[in-house]
Amino acid sequence: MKKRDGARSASEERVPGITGTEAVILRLLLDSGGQEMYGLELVKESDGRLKRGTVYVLLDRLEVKRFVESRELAPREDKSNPLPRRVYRVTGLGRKAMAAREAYRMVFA
Amino acid sequence: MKPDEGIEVELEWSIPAVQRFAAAVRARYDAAVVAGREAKNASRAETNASIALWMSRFSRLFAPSRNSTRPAVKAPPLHRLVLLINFFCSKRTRERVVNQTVADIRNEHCEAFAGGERWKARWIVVRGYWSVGTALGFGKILALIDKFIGRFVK
Repeated sequence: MKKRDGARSASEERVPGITGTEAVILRLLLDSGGQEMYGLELVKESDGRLKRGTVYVLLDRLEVKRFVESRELAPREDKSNPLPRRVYRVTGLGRKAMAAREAYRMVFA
Repeated sequence: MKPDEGIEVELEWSIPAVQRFAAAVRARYDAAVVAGREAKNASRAETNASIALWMSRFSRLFAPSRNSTRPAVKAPPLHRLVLLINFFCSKRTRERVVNQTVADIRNEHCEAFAGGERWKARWIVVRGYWSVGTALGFGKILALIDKFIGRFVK
Protein backbone atom coordinates (compact mmCIF):
# COMPACT_ATOMS: atom_id res chain seq x y z
CA MET A 1 0.00 0.00 0.00
CA LYS A 2 1.35 3.41 -0.91
CA LYS A 3 2.19 5.57 2.07
CA ARG A 4 0.78 9.06 2.25
CA ASP A 5 3.25 11.98 2.56
CA GLY A 6 2.17 12.77 6.11
CA ALA A 7 2.75 9.20 7.25
CA ARG A 8 6.42 9.14 6.19
CA SER A 9 9.08 9.15 8.93
CA ALA A 10 11.79 11.84 9.02
CA SER A 11 14.45 9.46 7.67
CA GLU A 12 12.30 8.43 4.72
CA GLU A 13 11.43 11.96 3.76
CA ARG A 14 13.28 13.12 0.67
CA VAL A 15 15.08 16.45 0.85
CA PRO A 16 14.23 18.42 -2.28
CA GLY A 17 17.04 19.47 -4.58
CA ILE A 18 18.49 22.93 -5.06
CA THR A 19 18.83 24.50 -8.50
CA GLY A 20 21.69 26.82 -9.43
CA THR A 21 19.73 30.03 -8.98
CA GLU A 22 18.26 28.84 -5.71
CA ALA A 23 21.78 28.09 -4.53
CA VAL A 24 22.77 31.69 -5.35
CA ILE A 25 19.92 32.95 -3.18
CA LEU A 26 20.80 30.62 -0.31
CA ARG A 27 24.49 31.56 -0.52
CA LEU A 28 23.64 35.28 -0.37
CA LEU A 29 21.36 34.74 2.62
CA LEU A 30 24.03 32.67 4.36
CA ASP A 31 26.69 35.29 3.65
CA SER A 32 24.53 37.97 5.24
CA GLY A 33 25.30 36.36 8.59
CA GLY A 34 21.79 35.36 9.53
CA GLN A 35 20.44 38.78 8.70
CA GLU A 36 17.02 38.97 7.06
CA MET A 37 16.98 40.25 3.48
CA TYR A 38 14.29 41.13 0.98
CA GLY A 39 14.26 40.47 -2.75
CA LEU A 40 15.66 43.75 -4.03
CA GLU A 41 18.63 43.51 -1.65
CA LEU A 42 19.35 40.03 -2.98
CA VAL A 43 19.12 41.26 -6.60
CA LYS A 44 21.49 44.16 -5.90
CA GLU A 45 24.03 41.97 -4.15
CA SER A 46 23.92 39.19 -6.74
CA ASP A 47 25.77 41.22 -9.42
CA GLY A 48 23.24 40.40 -12.13
CA ARG A 49 22.88 36.70 -11.36
CA LEU A 50 19.34 37.24 -10.06
CA LYS A 51 16.56 39.09 -11.88
CA ARG A 52 13.82 41.19 -10.38
CA GLY A 53 11.13 39.18 -12.11
CA THR A 54 12.22 35.78 -10.84
CA VAL A 55 13.68 36.32 -7.39
CA TYR A 56 10.36 36.27 -5.53
CA VAL A 57 9.15 33.18 -7.38
CA LEU A 58 12.35 31.38 -6.40
CA LEU A 59 12.11 32.61 -2.80
CA ASP A 60 8.56 31.31 -2.69
CA ARG A 61 9.70 27.91 -3.96
CA LEU A 62 12.52 27.82 -1.41
CA GLU A 63 9.96 28.57 1.28
CA VAL A 64 7.76 25.72 0.07
CA LYS A 65 10.85 23.48 0.27
CA ARG A 66 11.39 24.84 3.83
CA PHE A 67 14.92 26.08 3.04
CA VAL A 68 14.01 29.67 3.91
CA GLU A 69 11.42 31.24 6.12
CA SER A 70 9.87 34.66 5.83
CA ARG A 71 7.97 37.20 7.84
CA GLU A 72 6.07 40.28 6.85
CA LEU A 73 7.49 43.56 8.05
CA ALA A 74 5.11 45.68 10.06
CA PRO A 75 4.31 49.08 8.45
CA ARG A 76 6.29 50.89 11.17
CA GLU A 77 9.45 48.98 10.33
CA ASP A 78 9.26 49.86 6.63
CA LYS A 79 8.12 53.44 6.27
CA SER A 80 9.31 53.80 2.69
CA ASN A 81 6.56 51.72 1.12
CA PRO A 82 2.88 51.25 1.88
CA LEU A 83 2.93 47.68 0.53
CA PRO A 84 4.07 45.26 3.24
CA ARG A 85 7.56 43.94 2.64
CA ARG A 86 8.52 40.34 3.28
CA VAL A 87 12.00 39.50 4.54
CA TYR A 88 13.64 36.11 4.25
CA ARG A 89 16.26 34.14 6.19
CA VAL A 90 17.74 30.67 5.89
CA THR A 91 16.42 27.82 8.04
CA GLY A 92 18.49 25.03 9.56
CA LEU A 93 17.37 22.66 6.81
CA GLY A 94 18.48 25.22 4.22
CA ARG A 95 21.93 25.44 5.81
CA LYS A 96 22.30 21.66 5.82
CA ALA A 97 21.07 21.32 2.24
CA MET A 98 23.43 24.03 1.08
CA ALA A 99 26.38 22.46 2.93
CA ALA A 100 25.55 19.07 1.40
CA ARG A 101 25.30 20.60 -2.07
CA GLU A 102 28.65 22.38 -1.75
CA ALA A 103 30.34 19.25 -0.38
CA TYR A 104 28.93 17.25 -3.28
CA ARG A 105 30.18 19.79 -5.77
CA MET A 106 33.63 19.86 -4.17
CA VAL A 107 33.93 16.07 -4.48
CA PHE A 108 32.39 15.54 -7.91
CA ALA A 109 32.94 18.81 -9.75
CA MET B 1 -38.27 139.23 -39.51
CA LYS B 2 -36.25 138.22 -42.44
CA PRO B 3 -36.98 134.89 -43.94
CA ASP B 4 -33.48 133.70 -43.10
CA GLU B 5 -33.82 134.80 -39.52
CA GLY B 6 -36.86 132.59 -39.07
CA ILE B 7 -34.98 129.65 -40.37
CA GLU B 8 -32.06 130.49 -38.15
CA VAL B 9 -34.36 130.69 -35.11
CA GLU B 10 -35.96 127.47 -36.03
CA LEU B 11 -32.55 125.94 -36.53
CA GLU B 12 -31.37 127.35 -33.25
CA TRP B 13 -34.43 125.81 -31.60
CA SER B 14 -34.02 122.62 -33.40
CA ILE B 15 -30.33 122.18 -32.80
CA PRO B 16 -30.67 121.30 -29.08
CA ALA B 17 -33.53 118.95 -29.96
CA VAL B 18 -31.37 117.28 -32.53
CA GLN B 19 -28.61 117.17 -30.00
CA ARG B 20 -30.93 115.62 -27.43
CA PHE B 21 -32.16 113.15 -30.02
CA ALA B 22 -28.61 112.37 -31.03
CA ALA B 23 -27.62 111.98 -27.40
CA ALA B 24 -30.55 109.64 -26.82
CA VAL B 25 -29.64 107.62 -29.88
CA ARG B 26 -26.03 107.52 -28.80
CA ALA B 27 -27.03 106.45 -25.29
CA ARG B 28 -29.29 103.75 -26.70
CA TYR B 29 -26.48 102.67 -29.02
CA ASP B 30 -23.98 102.64 -26.18
CA ALA B 31 -26.38 100.61 -24.06
CA ALA B 32 -26.81 98.20 -26.91
CA VAL B 33 -23.06 97.99 -27.36
CA VAL B 34 -22.54 97.36 -23.64
CA ALA B 35 -25.29 94.76 -23.61
CA GLY B 36 -23.83 93.16 -26.70
CA ARG B 37 -20.40 93.15 -25.17
CA GLU B 38 -21.75 91.61 -22.00
CA ALA B 39 -23.58 89.05 -24.03
CA LYS B 40 -20.44 88.39 -25.95
CA ASN B 41 -18.43 88.10 -22.71
CA ALA B 42 -21.07 85.86 -21.23
CA SER B 43 -20.99 83.56 -24.23
CA ARG B 44 -17.19 83.62 -24.15
CA ALA B 45 -17.20 82.68 -20.46
CA GLU B 46 -19.63 79.90 -21.22
CA THR B 47 -17.40 78.67 -24.03
CA ASN B 48 -14.35 78.81 -21.76
CA ALA B 49 -16.19 76.85 -19.09
CA SER B 50 -17.20 74.16 -21.57
CA ILE B 51 -13.62 73.96 -22.89
CA ALA B 52 -12.32 73.66 -19.32
CA LEU B 53 -14.82 70.89 -18.64
CA TRP B 54 -13.79 69.08 -21.79
CA MET B 55 -10.12 69.49 -20.95
CA SER B 56 -10.71 68.19 -17.44
CA ARG B 57 -12.38 65.11 -18.91
CA PHE B 58 -9.38 64.51 -21.15
CA SER B 59 -6.87 65.82 -18.64
CA ARG B 60 -4.27 63.22 -19.61
CA LEU B 61 -3.93 64.91 -23.01
CA PHE B 62 -3.46 68.31 -21.40
CA ALA B 63 -1.21 67.31 -18.51
CA PRO B 64 0.94 70.10 -17.08
CA SER B 65 4.41 70.35 -18.52
CA ARG B 66 7.31 68.78 -16.75
CA ASN B 67 8.51 72.19 -15.56
CA SER B 68 5.19 72.94 -13.91
CA THR B 69 5.47 73.66 -10.21
CA ARG B 70 1.83 72.85 -9.55
CA PRO B 71 1.41 69.91 -7.22
CA ALA B 72 -0.41 67.00 -8.80
CA VAL B 73 -2.01 63.95 -7.23
CA LYS B 74 -1.02 60.80 -9.11
CA ALA B 75 -1.60 57.12 -8.56
CA PRO B 76 1.55 55.15 -7.65
CA PRO B 77 3.30 53.24 -10.44
CA LEU B 78 1.68 49.97 -11.55
CA HIS B 79 -1.52 50.91 -9.74
CA ARG B 80 -3.81 49.66 -12.49
CA LEU B 81 -1.79 46.50 -13.05
CA VAL B 82 -2.06 45.66 -9.35
CA LEU B 83 -5.83 46.17 -9.49
CA LEU B 84 -6.02 43.83 -12.46
CA ILE B 85 -3.82 41.20 -10.83
CA ASN B 86 -5.79 41.39 -7.59
CA PHE B 87 -8.77 40.29 -9.60
CA PHE B 88 -7.06 37.28 -11.22
CA CYS B 89 -4.36 35.97 -8.88
CA SER B 90 -4.56 34.02 -5.65
CA LYS B 91 -3.87 35.68 -2.33
CA ARG B 92 -0.59 33.80 -1.87
CA THR B 93 0.74 34.86 -5.30
CA ARG B 94 -0.34 38.42 -4.62
CA GLU B 95 1.32 38.63 -1.21
CA ARG B 96 4.52 36.77 -1.98
CA VAL B 97 5.26 37.61 -5.60
CA VAL B 98 3.29 40.53 -7.01
CA ASN B 99 3.21 42.85 -4.00
CA GLN B 100 6.91 42.29 -3.31
CA THR B 101 7.91 43.01 -6.91
CA VAL B 102 5.69 46.09 -7.03
CA ALA B 103 7.05 47.33 -3.69
CA ASP B 104 10.61 47.06 -5.05
CA ILE B 105 9.69 48.90 -8.23
CA ARG B 106 7.94 51.70 -6.34
CA ASN B 107 10.93 52.03 -4.05
CA GLU B 108 13.34 52.30 -6.98
CA HIS B 109 10.98 54.70 -8.77
CA CYS B 110 10.84 57.00 -5.74
CA GLU B 111 14.62 56.93 -5.37
CA ALA B 112 15.12 57.86 -9.04
CA PHE B 113 12.47 60.57 -8.87
CA ALA B 114 13.93 62.06 -5.69
CA GLY B 115 17.33 62.12 -7.40
CA GLY B 116 15.88 64.16 -10.28
CA GLU B 117 16.25 61.34 -12.80
CA ARG B 118 12.80 61.51 -14.38
CA TRP B 119 13.61 59.39 -17.41
CA LYS B 120 15.18 56.71 -15.25
CA ALA B 121 12.04 56.72 -13.08
CA ARG B 122 9.88 56.22 -16.17
CA TRP B 123 12.15 53.45 -17.40
CA ILE B 124 11.87 51.72 -14.00
CA VAL B 125 8.07 51.73 -14.37
CA VAL B 126 8.32 50.20 -17.86
CA ARG B 127 10.75 47.59 -16.55
CA GLY B 128 8.35 47.02 -13.66
CA TYR B 129 5.59 45.90 -16.01
CA TRP B 130 8.03 43.48 -17.57
CA SER B 131 9.20 42.20 -14.14
CA VAL B 132 5.66 41.54 -12.92
CA GLY B 133 4.78 39.81 -16.19
CA THR B 134 7.95 37.72 -16.02
CA ALA B 135 7.32 36.81 -12.39
CA LEU B 136 3.81 35.58 -13.12
CA GLY B 137 4.86 33.77 -16.31
CA PHE B 138 7.93 32.21 -14.69
CA GLY B 139 5.90 31.06 -11.70
CA LYS B 140 3.31 29.49 -13.97
CA ILE B 141 5.99 27.69 -16.05
CA LEU B 142 7.65 26.31 -12.90
CA ALA B 143 4.29 25.16 -11.56
CA LEU B 144 3.56 23.37 -14.85
CA ILE B 145 7.01 21.70 -14.83
CA ASP B 146 6.45 20.56 -11.24
CA LYS B 147 3.10 19.16 -12.17
CA PHE B 148 4.43 17.41 -15.28
CA ILE B 149 7.58 15.94 -13.66
CA GLY B 150 5.79 15.11 -10.44
CA ARG B 151 3.41 12.89 -12.40
CA PHE B 152 6.37 10.64 -13.40
CA VAL B 153 8.62 10.90 -10.31
CA LYS B 154 5.98 10.09 -7.68
